Amino acid sequence: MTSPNEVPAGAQSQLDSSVVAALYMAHGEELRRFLLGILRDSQLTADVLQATFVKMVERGHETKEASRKAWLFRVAYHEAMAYRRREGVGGKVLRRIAADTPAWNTSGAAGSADEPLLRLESVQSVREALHDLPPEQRQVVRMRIYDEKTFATIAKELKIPLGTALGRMRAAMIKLRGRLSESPAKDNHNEH
Amino acid sequence: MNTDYINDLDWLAFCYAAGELNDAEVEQFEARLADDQAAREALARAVELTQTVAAAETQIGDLVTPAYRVQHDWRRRVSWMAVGGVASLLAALLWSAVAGPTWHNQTWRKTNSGSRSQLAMAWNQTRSDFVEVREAALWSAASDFDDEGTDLAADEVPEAPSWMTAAVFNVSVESPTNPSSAQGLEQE
Repeated sequence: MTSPNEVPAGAQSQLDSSVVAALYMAHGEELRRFLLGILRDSQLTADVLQATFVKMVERGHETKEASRKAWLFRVAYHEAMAYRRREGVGGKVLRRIAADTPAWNTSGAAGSADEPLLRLESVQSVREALHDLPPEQRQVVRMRIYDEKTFATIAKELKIPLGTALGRMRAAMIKLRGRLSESPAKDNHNEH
Repeated sequence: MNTDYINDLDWLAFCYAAGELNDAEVEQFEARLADDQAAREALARAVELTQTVAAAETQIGDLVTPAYRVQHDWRRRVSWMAVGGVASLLAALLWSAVAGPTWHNQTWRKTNSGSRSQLAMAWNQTRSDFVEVREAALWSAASDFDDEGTDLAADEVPEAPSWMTAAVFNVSVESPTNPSSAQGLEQE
C-alpha cells in the first residue's frame, strides 16, 4: 500500500514533456528570481535553472502534482548551494541584482508571449508608487537601490540613525510591494 | 500567516538579497531556505521588487521618445527639405536666365553655322557653274566666228542648245533619243 506522497508502482519512468513545459511556464520566472537572490549572477542563475528542470524531467515522475512547485524550489536551492560550494561563489551585494535587471527580460523563463508587456505595466505601477511615497522614504529607496549605497552610508549622509533609515526603507517596501501586487499585470498573470 | 509575518519575512528576504545581514544571519536565513517555501517565495518577491524599482528609476525614460526630440527631429528634417527646395529653385532660375540661353545659342550656332556655310558654298559653286556655262557658250560662239573660218555674220549668234540652258531657264529637256519623254516640252 503506497503512501499519499508516493507514486503508484508502474507509473511512467519520465515526466511528460508537456507537463514539464507547463511547470516551466508557471514557475520558471519565480524560480529564476529566487536563484538570482542566492547566486547574484544572471548567467549562473540561468545555468542552475536549466539544471533544475533537467532534474524535473528525470525525476519529476516521482512527485505528486500538488507538491511539484515546492519540489522545484527545493531542487533549485540545493543546486545553487552546490554550485556555490563548488565554485567558491559567495553572497554579493544587491547591486548585482539591480545591475542584472535586463530591459525587458524574458531570459531564463519562457513566460507568456506578453511577458515584456506585463513587466512594463509593473514598472509603471511601481514608478507611480514611488512618486506617491513620502519624500524621505523615496530618498532612502533611491539611495539604496538606484545609488547602491548601504544603509549605514545612507544614515551617515542623511545624518539620521541607522534604524530610521531601515524603518523608512521597510515602510516604503511595504507600499511598493502592495502596489506591485495590485498591478493589472499581476492580476492577469495570476489568472493563468 | 498574518500580514506582519509576511512583512517581516519580506523585509528579512530583502535584507538578505541586499547584503545587509551579517554572516550569522546569512547562514541562518539560507538554512531556512532549504525547507521553508514561504521564505523562498519571499526572496523571489524581494528580487522582483528590487528589479522593478531599479527599472522604474532608469528605463521609463527610454520607453517614450521625448516630445521635444521628436519635434526637433522633424524640424531638422523640414529645414533640410527647405534648404534643398530653395537650392533647386535657385539652380533652375540660374539655368533659365544665364546658362540655359548661353548654352542654347552656342549649340544652335554650332549646329547651324556649318549648314549655313555649306549652303553658301553650294550657292557660290552653282553661280560659278552658271557663269562658266554662259562663258563657255559665248566663247564657243566667239571662236566659231574667229578661228574656224566659219563664215558667220557678225550679227548671227548661234543659240545654245536647249539641253544646255534647260537648267538655267528651267525648261524641260527634249531627249535626243526620246523626244517625247519629257513633259511640258516646248518644242523648238
